[in-house]
Amino acid sequence: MQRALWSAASGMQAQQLQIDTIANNLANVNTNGFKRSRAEFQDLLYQTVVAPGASSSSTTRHPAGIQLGLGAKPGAVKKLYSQGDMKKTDNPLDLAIQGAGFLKVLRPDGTIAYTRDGALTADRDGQLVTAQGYPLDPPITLPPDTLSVTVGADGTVSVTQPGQSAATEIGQIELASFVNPTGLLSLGGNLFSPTAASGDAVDGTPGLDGLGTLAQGFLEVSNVSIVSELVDMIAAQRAYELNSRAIRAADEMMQQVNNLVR
Amino acid sequence: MNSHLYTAASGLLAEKRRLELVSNNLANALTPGYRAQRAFTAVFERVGRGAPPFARAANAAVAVAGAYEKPGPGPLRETGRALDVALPEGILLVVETAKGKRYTRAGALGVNAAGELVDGGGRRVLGADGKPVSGLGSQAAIGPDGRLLEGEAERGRLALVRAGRGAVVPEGGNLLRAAREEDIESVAEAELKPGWLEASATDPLGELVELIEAQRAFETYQKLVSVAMNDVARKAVTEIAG
Repeated sequence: MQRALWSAASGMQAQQLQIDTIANNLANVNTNGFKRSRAEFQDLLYQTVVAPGASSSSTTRHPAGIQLGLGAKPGAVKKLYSQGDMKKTDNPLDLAIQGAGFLKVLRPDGTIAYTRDGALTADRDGQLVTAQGYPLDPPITLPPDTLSVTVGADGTVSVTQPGQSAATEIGQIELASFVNPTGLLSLGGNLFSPTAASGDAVDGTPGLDGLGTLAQGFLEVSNVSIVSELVDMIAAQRAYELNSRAIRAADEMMQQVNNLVR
Repeated sequence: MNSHLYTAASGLLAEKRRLELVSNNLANALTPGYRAQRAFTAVFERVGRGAPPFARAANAAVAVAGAYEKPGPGPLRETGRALDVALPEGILLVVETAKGKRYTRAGALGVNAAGELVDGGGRRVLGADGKPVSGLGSQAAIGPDGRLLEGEAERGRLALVRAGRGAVVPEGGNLLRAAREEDIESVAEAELKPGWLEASATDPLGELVELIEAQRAFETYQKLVSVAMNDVARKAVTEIAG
């Protein structure tokens, strides 16, 4: 009975994690460049009461053993890097990445972080920065007399200035890719940093070496699908209820055992 | 004279074990590729076959003789992720662990920092050549025929095996261990469904019915014990002896 109690409790903990993950996904349904997470579960250890194939007599064997599983546990909470939808904003400093890759930004502590959120703005020096004010790496600085900015699909940034008929190229936006983006560490603020699981960043030019291209005037919205999150939530909630039912059954059976002797 | 007491007690133990199996099935309602386990019970006789039929019946006990896996597959759900793969019934992936080769049905695969194909627990998934599949990256995808692609380039093929019923037993961590090696054979090709995952095959309705059945049967055995102990035995002590 103790086993049944703890198995069901581990199941309830697993469903709880599922609900937590779904809640965070739903909270970020309007976060630019957000990638949804998926909780993955595993069965726990098995206690073998009768080993399958063990001898049942000198000539025969047990066709099936008795293995009592001890519940479930979370295996991973995986980020899913599927492409989010594109939202047209017409803001020339909004960039969406179509395909794989991350923008590189310089954090105040001097380290590089990676983001899919391309909602950039120019700070007072004309430098392109993210919503937190972190500059792109390598830095791109718009001249003070800039009339319009064009970002090519390959990341080249060019500006038009008064009195000039042709656009001037002022810089190149680089993207970085990872062997295993799922292994990136989420820092919050739409930022990621590399880990031993993700592998090192491979810098490159948008559109080359499997990297995505840049779309100016668009933002990549969250890849959370509300409908599928809600369906997952209902499933997790019902599974939670079922596990609590198993706990109640185990409890009532133990109560009866206690009442065996009056 | 207490043989009926032992018979009832054996029933209590068997129902308890059934509840433990149901509990584990429900706990794994969200574990991908999980197969629900069911107990089958059998009657055991505590006296020899030479004993008269009356004595044999009176000394019978019930016990869980084994547990079997309810056949799958679990419901498939579309994820759209290139490294998720749903396997046809009976087909398993091969992964490398510290304890040797293991099998798995959980098709949520990934790539590690070294560019090798790994399962949800980070264990390397073997290719058809018996070696881990490497050379994968952010463009990695699985083809419906089991080929592994990085962009356009082919990086190998998944090792697939077909396991007969009862040939593998669960070990935890979504791994399966071979119980009968002779019933596991390699297959060159199978119809895989990339971008899909097989959910847990736990059927909530069936589990709930099993749960209620186990609980009510437990009550019945409990009643038997209490009649045997409190009524029959007490009467014997207080009325006959007294």
